[in-house]
Amino acid sequence: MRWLIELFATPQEAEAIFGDLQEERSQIAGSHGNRRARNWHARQATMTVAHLACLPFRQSPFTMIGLGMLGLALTFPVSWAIRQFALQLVVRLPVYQYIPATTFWMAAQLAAPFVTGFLGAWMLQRRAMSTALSAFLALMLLVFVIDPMVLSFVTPRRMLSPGFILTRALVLLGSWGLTLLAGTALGIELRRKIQTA
Amino acid sequence: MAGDYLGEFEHLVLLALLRLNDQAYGVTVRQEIAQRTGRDVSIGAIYATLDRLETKGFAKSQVGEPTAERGGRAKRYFRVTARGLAVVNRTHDALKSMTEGLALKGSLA
Repeated sequence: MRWLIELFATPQEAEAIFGDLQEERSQIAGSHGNRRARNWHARQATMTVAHLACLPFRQSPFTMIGLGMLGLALTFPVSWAIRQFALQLVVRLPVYQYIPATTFWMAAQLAAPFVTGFLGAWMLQRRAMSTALSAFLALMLLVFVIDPMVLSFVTPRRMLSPGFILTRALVLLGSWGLTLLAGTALGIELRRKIQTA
Repeated sequence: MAGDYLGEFEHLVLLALLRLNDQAYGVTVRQEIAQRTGRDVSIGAIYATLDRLETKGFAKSQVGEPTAERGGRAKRYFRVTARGLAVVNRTHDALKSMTEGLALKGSLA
């Protein structure tokens, strides 16, 4: 929970929040016991994360939707660039002697959302994690609504079972979406480490 | 002035800062609001609002000394600026004007 608060709050804000949570937890532990203090702390921390995550959406919803869609759209040119780079690597170096081809190309594929998330964390500062969440939601819309609609036009109907559509959507969401969030989280973490060093 | 208005929660937070005077920081502001309004708000909601008030120029913060009970972390004290006081008065006057002559309690019963 502490890590999640750090992802959504500025370093100064996080410091003050942790101090306040600890101070009030000690007060409650002194008057009502450790168990109640622990429950209070868990509930407060959860409410705080939820509030900080939703805050940019409440303050400027259209900007956040736009940033999310832009973030998702950015993964496509980044993906193209990474694939070109990976191709050059394979042509010039004996890559497959060290890494199996499937692993190499899967990593190249997943590098796009990871790099996009990582860059977003450096460019967007405070709103980075909420923007990544917005991009995740945009991806959900893409894989659960738009992608099946497009597939229904270009694929023979007998090949389109609900199971196939659901599996495809979950794989896309799980790989691209979660990698995008992971890239953003790592970017924020690294930025914080550099700022505090 | 355009933009010089307060949301309901911003209004409550500014009033809490005025009540607490030089002892206003996250914990005391949260407890003051909880005691007087019965609303259990999160620390995150308090800080998000305080940051917004600071950005608008209605409040100012300063970092205090780190204390052991906070795990060596410093308190962040807040106080209302002259502009903040003016906007509280304006909001208060607007509310008074809008509710004047209304029998609110039980009027719909």
